[in-house]
Amino acid sequence: MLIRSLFLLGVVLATSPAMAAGPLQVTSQVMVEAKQRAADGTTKIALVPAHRVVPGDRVVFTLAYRNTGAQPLADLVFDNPVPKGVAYRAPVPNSPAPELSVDGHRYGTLAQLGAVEPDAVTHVRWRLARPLAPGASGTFAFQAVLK
Amino acid sequence: MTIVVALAVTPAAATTPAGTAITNTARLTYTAGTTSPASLDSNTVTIAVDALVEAAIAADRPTAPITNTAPLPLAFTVTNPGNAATVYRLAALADRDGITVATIAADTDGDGRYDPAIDRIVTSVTLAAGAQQRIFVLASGTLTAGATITATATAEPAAAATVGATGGRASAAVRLTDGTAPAAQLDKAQSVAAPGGGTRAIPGAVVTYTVTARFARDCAAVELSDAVPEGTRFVPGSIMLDDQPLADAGRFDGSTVRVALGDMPAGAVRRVRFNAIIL
Repeated sequence: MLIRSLFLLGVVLATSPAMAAGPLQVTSQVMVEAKQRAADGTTKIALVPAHRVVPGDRVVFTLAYRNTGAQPLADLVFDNPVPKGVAYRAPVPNSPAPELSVDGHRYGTLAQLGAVEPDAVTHVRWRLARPLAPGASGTFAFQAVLK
Repeated sequence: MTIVVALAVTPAAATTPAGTAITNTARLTYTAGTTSPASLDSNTVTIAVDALVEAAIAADRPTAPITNTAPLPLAFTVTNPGNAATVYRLAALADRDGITVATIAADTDGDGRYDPAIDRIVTSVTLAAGAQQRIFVLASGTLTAGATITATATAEPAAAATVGATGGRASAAVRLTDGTAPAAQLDKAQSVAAPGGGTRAIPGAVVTYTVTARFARDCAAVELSDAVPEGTRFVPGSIMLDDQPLADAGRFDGSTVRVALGDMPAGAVRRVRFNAIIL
């Protein structure tokens, strides 16, 4: 019963409207990878809303952003602490690779941080090199596994 | 040689408990025009971790020598690799008629030894996530060497749980061995290669000794030693273990070839070979 009500809570929060504070609109989303068997016998991985997740499941965290204002926004930094109970794995294909951190202070690649496993990652961060023009948008996403 | 009594049970890796809420919020900073940097948080997404049901069981030892005491307790360890408390139904099966394995006891005091006065008869165990419980399958009747006794733990998943890769069911087996047979058997063979061909044992001929060790039971910290015979000289660099060369250091002490084999499981076979020249 407890699990079921938490699950309902999850759905409500996951579908709540994006924050629209100021000229920057950002939506965080989480999906789970599900193997789907096609009629021709092949299996493909699809991303479905994270309903029932259990340890070992692969999940994808997505940040979608848009400049809803009238002037460009500069020095954009997206800082995403890796949630507790989740282990960072990799950027999603087609998403820029984030900078990684094992302490929330120093950022770089795993090799630069002296870490050997992505399990050690505690924070990921993306920085936009150029100002975000009015109306412009994009997404960042990373893959993780449930511990 | 000594018989292994230690058992190795690795605890399950900790998984996120069922019911845990995992939340994600990103923080953004930016500047607009000439204003000072602003920051905002993204919406928070929450995912709730469901119950994952898995089962694991391992025999504390792969073989058990038959003894005169009845019943013969066979130790297994049931582990809950899932993330929620789970009930495991226990069952055992023998692959020979005449062996009774219907009774299972929990190692209630956790000392690893079956004690009928303390260890309680059970048909199931309830384990918290990651927890373990040793059980004894009590084998009685006509115990014969070579018979295999298999213990099975079957999870009874709660209605809303997800059953993982193991299907919530796991088995492990113990093979009965002859309690009176020696723990290991050594066979030694030799072949002679004389200079210029032939197999005559003449001075200068090379004798290849092959010692084969077969282990009928688990043996710990095994060392195989063989004295180089009088009238021969050990050929440096000739020691082979299972056809892999071994360095002489620490293995030839001037008179005897000694090879540490470590812990040997029942059924293992190791072959040590070395050469000596007839003086």
